[in-house]
Amino acid sequence: MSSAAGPRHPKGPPRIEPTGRALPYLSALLDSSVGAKLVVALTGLGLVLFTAFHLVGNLKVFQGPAAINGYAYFLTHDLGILIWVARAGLLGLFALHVFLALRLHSRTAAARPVPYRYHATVRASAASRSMVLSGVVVGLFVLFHLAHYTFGAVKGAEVEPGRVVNYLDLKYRMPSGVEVHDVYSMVVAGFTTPWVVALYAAAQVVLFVHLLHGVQSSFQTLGLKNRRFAPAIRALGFLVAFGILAGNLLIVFGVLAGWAPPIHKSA
Amino acid sequence: MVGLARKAGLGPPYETGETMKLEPKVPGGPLAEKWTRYKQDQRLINPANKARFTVAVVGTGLAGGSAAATLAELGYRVLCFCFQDSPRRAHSIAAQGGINAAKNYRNDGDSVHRLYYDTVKGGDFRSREANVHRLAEVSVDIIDQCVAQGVPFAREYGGLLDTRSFGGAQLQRTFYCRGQTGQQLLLGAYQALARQIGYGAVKMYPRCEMLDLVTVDGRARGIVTRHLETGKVESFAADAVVLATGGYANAFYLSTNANGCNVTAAYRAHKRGAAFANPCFTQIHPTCIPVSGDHQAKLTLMSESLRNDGRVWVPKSQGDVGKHPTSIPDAGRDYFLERKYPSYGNLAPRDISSRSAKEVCDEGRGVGPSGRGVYLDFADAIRRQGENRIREKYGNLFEMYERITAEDAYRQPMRIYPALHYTMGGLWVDYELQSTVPGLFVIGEANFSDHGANRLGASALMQGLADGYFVLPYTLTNWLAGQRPGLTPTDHPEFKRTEAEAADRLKKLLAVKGKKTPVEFHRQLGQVLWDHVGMARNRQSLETALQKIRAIREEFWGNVSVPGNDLDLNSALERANRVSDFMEFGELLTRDALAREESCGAHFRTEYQQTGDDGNPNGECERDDDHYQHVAAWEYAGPDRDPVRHAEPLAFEVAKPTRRSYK
Amino acid sequence: MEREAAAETAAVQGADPHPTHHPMKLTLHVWRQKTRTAPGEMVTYPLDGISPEQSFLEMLDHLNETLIRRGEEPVAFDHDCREGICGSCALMINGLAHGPERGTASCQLHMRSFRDGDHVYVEPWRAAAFPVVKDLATDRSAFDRIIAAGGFVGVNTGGAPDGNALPIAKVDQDRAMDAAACIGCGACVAACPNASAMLFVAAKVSHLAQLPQGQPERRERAQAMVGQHDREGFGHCTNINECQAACPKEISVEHIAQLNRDYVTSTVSAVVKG
Repeated sequence: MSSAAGPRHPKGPPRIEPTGRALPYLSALLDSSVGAKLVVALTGLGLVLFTAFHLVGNLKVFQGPAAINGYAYFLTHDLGILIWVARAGLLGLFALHVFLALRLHSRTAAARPVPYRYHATVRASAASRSMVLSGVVVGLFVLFHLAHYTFGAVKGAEVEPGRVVNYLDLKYRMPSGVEVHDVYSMVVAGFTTPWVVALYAAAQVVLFVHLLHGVQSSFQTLGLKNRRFAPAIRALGFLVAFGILAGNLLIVFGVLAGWAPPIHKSA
Repeated sequence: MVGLARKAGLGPPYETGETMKLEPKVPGGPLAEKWTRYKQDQRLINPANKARFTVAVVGTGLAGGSAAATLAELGYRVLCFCFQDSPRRAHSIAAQGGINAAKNYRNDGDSVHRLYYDTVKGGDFRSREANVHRLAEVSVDIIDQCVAQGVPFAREYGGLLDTRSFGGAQLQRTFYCRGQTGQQLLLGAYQALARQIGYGAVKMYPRCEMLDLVTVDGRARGIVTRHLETGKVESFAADAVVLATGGYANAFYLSTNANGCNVTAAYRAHKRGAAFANPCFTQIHPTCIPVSGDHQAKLTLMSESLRNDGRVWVPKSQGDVGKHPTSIPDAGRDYFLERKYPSYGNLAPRDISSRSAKEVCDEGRGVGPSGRGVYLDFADAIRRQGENRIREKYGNLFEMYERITAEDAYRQPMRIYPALHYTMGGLWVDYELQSTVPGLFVIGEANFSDHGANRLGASALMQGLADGYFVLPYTLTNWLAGQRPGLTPTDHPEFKRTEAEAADRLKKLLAVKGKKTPVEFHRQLGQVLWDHVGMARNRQSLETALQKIRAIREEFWGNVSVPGNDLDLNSALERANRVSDFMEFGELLTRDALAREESCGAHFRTEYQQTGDDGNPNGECERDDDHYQHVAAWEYAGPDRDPVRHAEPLAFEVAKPTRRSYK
Repeated sequence: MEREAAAETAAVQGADPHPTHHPMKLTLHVWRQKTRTAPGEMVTYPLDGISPEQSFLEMLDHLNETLIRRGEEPVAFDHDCREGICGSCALMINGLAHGPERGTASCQLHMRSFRDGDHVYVEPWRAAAFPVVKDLATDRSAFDRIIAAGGFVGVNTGGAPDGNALPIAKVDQDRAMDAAACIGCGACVAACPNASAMLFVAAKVSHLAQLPQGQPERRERAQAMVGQHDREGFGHCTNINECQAACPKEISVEHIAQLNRDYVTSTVSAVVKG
């Protein structure tokens, strides 16, 4: 085959013209594997940052109902329009992350049409090779998590024996007298249910695996990894992943262990 | 100038008995001004007209790659061919040591003149003076060009280029990129070529092997190739054909050359009228890893720099040969290089070291499983300098040695043996690098011009790039300027005839359906050449070789087995085709060695040795300048006729021939 | 130190310095495929008389000689220099690119890395961008097109400034040389679970990025080479690092970070400068 035969695979980004307009430039950028990967890395880091804040906020559950419910009220009420900006941004990050990662994956799936008969690896970690799988599981979990706590669509809280209230209808009167949504009871109701606990714990482990590769990989993708700092970045990646795992499991199992006692008597 | 070939018209050039005329076309004037004058006086082609000329470049090593890229930059239409799957894989890539250039960055007294003189002297006064001087002149530009291309030459801490001495030179003029200089220089040329391919200025044909040269009215008009994947035999027309197809060391079967290196393109061009010069000048490298068994497909070279610290020895008595080397006391060891050549010792020149190793092995004192090996011992160096220092200097070589032999050279001596490495001979070319077939240019190792009877270390890379970047682009332009552009249509009867002949030969190989594999014949041929036309030759051995080669050839055409067909990738067919040419060529090589009744450089005839103080032959070459100070250029005379030997006399205006002594 | 050496000498004295090796017998499973479009299959060949001193390719030569003598077609595989520098050889041996030894091309692998009686699976590189030509030989011309897209310094012959005109820090030169050691064999692609050629692209981008000569085209180079890489149908890099483990020249993935860095700066520059 002559090397001048031209590309056999018409896929891939169009050639970037130096005088081109912004839109074709950006679309070509996102179309290229490195460009898309950069966005996946950046959005990934954004999502990690969110997860960390989310964790810190939720740890307030151990400070008692007033603390966490007040915090929730601050977010949803005091921030006003800002919370919707934040939510839109978060949704955007999430959507971009998922869309670009899956698109890269689907293209790459075509890159090796005939598999090897004998398979072996030397260095590839299980975490690094299962990013799409772990990502999809985490993504599905996020949907479940939203359905569970944000939309209250999964189950209700048994406030008194036999009386089940939808999560969103739980109310709490703040010391200031303002009646707010009772996030505390919602969390307690969720994490005292064994199957929910099991599901959350499993999802956290998958998230850990995803982040174990994802965090340090983002640094590599952004070109921020080098010989000198590679071990430090690997350590950072592990710390972040482990910190999020430990924190989230602490909430799940801490509530299950009764460290955050229910306000309503339920049994 | 090629009366014969031209007259022959359609037919092969051996129909008349007319003698070939060799015109070196060396420009006038003092030696140091010849090239400048040539460039001043040369004809030019205006940029717009260059695109009307098509040049076919065969081979993509240092010479071919750099030539194809440069010619395309100038504006010619270039067709480029290589048998490998990519132009980046040509065998130049395997050169380790470095590239010489008369930069004098070291302030150690180097100059163009010195490099020229060393090269002429190293070649034992069998090269063409004017070509060598030009080579030394352009060596300086090569380094600049390569640096500009991004070749990562070794540097000193201050950021300037580092150099080292090489092959016993008294000057540090060798530029290098770790142990991969050839690779880096080739990638530089390859990238320049890739750039032109990307621009559409070069049309690249990988996996495409040249099978024959097409001549019309005695002038090169194109080539016939076989696409190795599809088997398609196809013709390409060109205004000029450039052969950069490397050397023929693989005629010896075992050599340090890549497996694919072959003589087919050069030899078939020879059969179409190009004179073949000095085929008997074959260089043998003293520090290779010995043969371990019949299975071996190639030999591996280890940098000669090892001899700076290693001591070469064999046991004094045959009885000690099987013993572990560390158990043989110093008194039982024969440090034969130090004994025979006290002033140079282990650093004696390549040919002398090689021959001495052969001698001690012939005496039955060779070591290793095959008995063909000598020790290269680092124990003293390790004791003196410490293992770390040795590791620093040669770590990668020791590792390579261990990888191949599973022996740890820090603990026991290495075993080395000489192997075929480079061939100085090649197609005859004039000062313009044009062969005796007008329109056929030959560059790099494929031509004969610059190294005489022996090549200096780190000069092969220099010559390849000099020809490709800085010489051919000028001389080819000068020649093309006198030609009317225009391609002969490939349905011209001469194209059709050549194509049919090439295809028929393949069919013939497939039709034999014998019992022996092409490799077996190749191994047999190599054994004959190595035994009888190797490091030391004499009339008797050469005559034996001629007979044996003929016998092998005869058997080949009656008993070779080539399975499969010629319609797809068929490695057996490729090999058989190449071996068939090696066999014919081996005869020419032997004939040349027989006809050159002197010893010079790498060509050592045991009958012609200097006489030592003790009145016995001392193993030094005895040159015969009165009768053999010439280039022997062989003309093909037909399948059943002996080739005709022509001579191009060599004159040395500046460097006066001296006798070499390394005592 | 000396005593140690003496003890060692005593230990090995009398021992055969070059022990003879017993021939081995292996069962080879080799991918055979007649042409690009023909279907292929693994074919089993028992092979004996293999010397541990043989290189892997010499073992395949041995198989081919046996096949040719039987009138069967030899197994096609790419090879040339047989000393690990030309990058022709490309064999997936027991699922590992270039076999079990690290920093080794197939041609440098010796049969002493296997044991008598082993089953050895030999497959071609597998990637959409490397179609099989025949048996174990693949078409890697995609690499040539990636280089042609920008893997060069765009200087013509002639007119280059003196080699010492621009001093280059030794550390930069060393790093450039580390990257430039790439032999273009394609093991990175073969080993990568995504069949990505990012290490190959990165090696060239990083080599030229370290040197002043590579600066003028640095930004376009990263974009152009990555673009061609994608068009050829290679997968994307997910930083699995299997390529580094498979690379016969042990080229580090830190060069991929360098490529990414150049890609980021080139993007930022294009966005800011327009």
